Amino acid sequence: MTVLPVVVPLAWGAILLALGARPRWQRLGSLLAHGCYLAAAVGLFRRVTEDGPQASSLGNWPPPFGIAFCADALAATLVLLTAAVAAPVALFALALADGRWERQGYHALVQVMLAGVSGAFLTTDLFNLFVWFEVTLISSFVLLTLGGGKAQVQGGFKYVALNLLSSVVFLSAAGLLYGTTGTLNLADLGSRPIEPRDAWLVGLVGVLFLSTFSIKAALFPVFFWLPAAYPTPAAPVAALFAGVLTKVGVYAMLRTGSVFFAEATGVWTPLLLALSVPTMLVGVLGAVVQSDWRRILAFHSVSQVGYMVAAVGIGGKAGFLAAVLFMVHHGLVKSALFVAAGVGWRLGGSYRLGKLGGFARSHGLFSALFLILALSLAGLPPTSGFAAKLAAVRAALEGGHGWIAGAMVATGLFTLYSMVKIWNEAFWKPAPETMELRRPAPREMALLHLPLAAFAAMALLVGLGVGPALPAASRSADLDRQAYVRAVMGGPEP
Amino acid sequence: MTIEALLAVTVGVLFGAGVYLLLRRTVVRLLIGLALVGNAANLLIFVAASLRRGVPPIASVGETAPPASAADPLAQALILTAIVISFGVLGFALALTDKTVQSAGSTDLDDLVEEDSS
Repeated sequence: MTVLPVVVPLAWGAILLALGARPRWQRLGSLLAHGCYLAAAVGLFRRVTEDGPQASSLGNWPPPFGIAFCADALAATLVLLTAAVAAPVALFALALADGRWERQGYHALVQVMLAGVSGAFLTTDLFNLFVWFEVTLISSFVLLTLGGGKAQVQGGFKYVALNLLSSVVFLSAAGLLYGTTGTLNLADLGSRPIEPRDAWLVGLVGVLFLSTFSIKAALFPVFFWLPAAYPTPAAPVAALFAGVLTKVGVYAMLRTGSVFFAEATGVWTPLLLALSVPTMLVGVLGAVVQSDWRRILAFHSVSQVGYMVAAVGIGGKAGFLAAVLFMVHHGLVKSALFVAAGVGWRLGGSYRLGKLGGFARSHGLFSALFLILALSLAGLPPTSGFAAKLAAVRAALEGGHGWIAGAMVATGLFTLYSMVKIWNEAFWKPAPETMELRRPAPREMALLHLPLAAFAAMALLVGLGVGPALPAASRSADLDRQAYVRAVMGGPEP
Repeated sequence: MTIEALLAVTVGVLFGAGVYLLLRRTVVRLLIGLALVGNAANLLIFVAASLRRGVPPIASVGETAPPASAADPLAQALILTAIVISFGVLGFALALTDKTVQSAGSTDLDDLVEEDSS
C-alpha cells in the first residue's frame, strides 16, 4: 500500500516507453497512468488519515536493515498534492501535444519523475532519499531540455550543473553521517542519542544536508538556477516543475529537521529562519523588474519558498501546519499560474507581457480563472493563499518572530503588485496591433480551460475549507515524531 | 591507520582540484570538476565507513550479525549505487554540454544566454 504511489508511476513509465512513438496510445496511456496515480494517492491518504502512519519494509528485512517506506499524514498529503497537480497538468499537456513530445518520451518521463517525487516523500532512509532525488533529477533534466531550443539547453545546463554539485554534497554528507552514527535510517537516527564527542561532526553534516536541500528548494543564496530554468521548458513541464520540484526540497528540510537535525544540530533552525527572509525579499523584488510572464512567476516561486522555509524554521504545531498548508497552496496555485501563462502563450503567441493584451475582452472565462489564481497567490480571501499566509503570519507572531511576520506581509504586497502587473498587461490593456490572436478548435479550448478551472476550484476549496478551521487545526496538527519512529522501527504503543 | 590518513588526504586533494575546476569559466572544466568531486564523495564514504581487510562480512549460522572486525558492506553498496547513478548522470551531462557548446558557439560559461528569446 505504502509503495503503490512509487510503483504505479514507475510501471506506467515502462509501459509508456514500450508503447513507443504512437501518439494516440501514448496520450491514452498517460491519462490512465495519471488516473491510477491519483487513485493510489487518494487510497494512501485515506488509509493514513484513518489508521495512522503506515510503514512497509521491502523484502521483509527488519528495520533498520531493510529499505523502509513510511507514509504519515505529512507524506501522504504531499503525495496527494503531487497527484492533484499532475492530473490537470496532464490534461493541459494533451491540449498542446502535437506528436513531437510523444516521440521524445514526454509522457513516460513525467511518470518516472512522479515516481521519484513520491519515493522522496515516502522513504525513511537518507541514502534512498538521495536515490529518489536522482530519479527525479534525471527525468527532470530530460524534460527540461525536451525539444532542445537554445534557451532551453543553456538554461538546462545551469540546472544540471548545480544539481550535480548538490548531489555530490548530499552524498558526502550521507557518507559522513553513516561513518559517524552507523545508520542512515531517519527513524533510527531520531530514536538514538548522539554521543557528545560526535556532536560537532553531526552539526557539520547537518549544515551539508541543509545546503543540498537549499539548492533543491531554491533558497537564498542558491536560488539562481530556478529563474534560469523555469521560464525555458515546454509549458506543461514548467507547470509540473513549479508545483512539485521545490516542494521536495522543503519537504526534506521539514522531515529530516523534525525527526533528527533540528534537535541534533543547534544551527539548523537559526539558519532556516535567517535565510528565509532574504529568500522572500530577493525573490519578490527580482520579480518586480521582469517583463516576461514566466520569469515573473519563477521569481515568485523563490519568494514563496521563503515563506515555507520560515514556517519550517518556526516549527511547533503552528509552524508545521503553516508549512504544510503553504506547500499545498503553492503547489496548486503556482502550477495553475504556469498553466495560465501557457494558455496565454497558446492564444497570444508570446510570454512577453508587452506583446500580449486584451484577454479580458476576448477570453472572459480565461481571465476570470486567472484572476482567482493570481489573487490566491497574492493571498486574498477566500482563497488558499489567504489561509496559508494567515497560518504563516500567525505562526511567526506566536513564535515571537515579528520581523519574519513583517517580511511576510511586505512580500505579500509586492506579490499583489506583480499579479496586478500581469493582469494589466496581458488582460486589461488593449491588444497590441502586432498580436495575432490564435483561435484553437473548441476541443482544444476546453482542454486549455479545464485544468485552470480544476486548479481554481481546488484553490477555493482549500481556502474555504481550511481558512475557517485554522484555529482548531493549529491546535491538533502536529508532526508526531514518536509516531513516525514507532511506525518505521516497530515497538509498543505508548 | 596510515592508509586511512593517506586516503583522507586523497579525498581532500580530489575535492580541492574538483572545486578549483568548478570555478573555471570553461564548460568542459566544469564538467571534469563535477566528475572529480563525485569520485571524491565516493572515496569519502569508503573511508568514513572505516577500512578493514581479511574478514568477510558474513554472519555465521546462529549469529544475527557479522563479526565486529568485518568491514561494513553497506558503505560499499552505497558507493556502488552512487557510481552507477553518477555514471548515468554524467553521460547525460556530457551530451547536454555538447549541445550547449554547439548552440552557444563557445565554451565560455559567460556566453550562455540569460533571457528567453521567445
